[in-house]
Amino acid sequence: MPASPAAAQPNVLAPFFTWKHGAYLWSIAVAIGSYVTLMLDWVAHRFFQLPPVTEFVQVLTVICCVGMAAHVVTMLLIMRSNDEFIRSLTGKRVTIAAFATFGLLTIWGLLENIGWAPPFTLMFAYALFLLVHTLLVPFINADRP
Amino acid sequence: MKNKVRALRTERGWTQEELGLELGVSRQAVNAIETEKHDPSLSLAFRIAALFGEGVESVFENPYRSSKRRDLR
Repeated sequence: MPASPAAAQPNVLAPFFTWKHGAYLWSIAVAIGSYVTLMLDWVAHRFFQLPPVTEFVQVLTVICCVGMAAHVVTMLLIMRSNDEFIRSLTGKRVTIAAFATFGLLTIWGLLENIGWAPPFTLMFAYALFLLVHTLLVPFINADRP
Repeated sequence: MKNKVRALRTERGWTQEELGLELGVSRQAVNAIETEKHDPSLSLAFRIAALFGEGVESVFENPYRSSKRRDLR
């Protein structure tokens, strides 16, 4: 048994901030950056009748889709991490956020079907998921697992 | 789950980060175990006990090993 475990691995962040976390940050930065731009474009087009910049939006949409796919894959890789505690926290938040998003979208869809709710673009599903996920952080965290 | 992880760690002069590094978990995980907010898996409990050179039940209190043992049947 070593006298001091730190002697073997002096870099505290090394085992935790791996390429998976770097990939996660890059993918979420690309996904959210392009996503916010697309939402602004949608709002400009929908509410201010500004003409869409078609080619730019098409390119941005592809970038956004790739970023989101990468985000999902890296999130799954992080959830396979050895740290059962972090895995459990992430798993709880993602599961609740996913169920809340599915539930809210389905309820909206049902109301929309009978004309009680205005049409809603599924483009906002990801924003809803991130919103619920963020709202859960004060309730499910390292101090309140 | 009551445990002696904090006592054993401080006895050796290790920080939570250092113990986490040795176990392959985060500092938050070590803190959650020490403050009894997280019950470690059997595998992690064995790793913790082995690291301190103790048996699992001398590090983690078995809540079912008591005078009420017959109640488990």
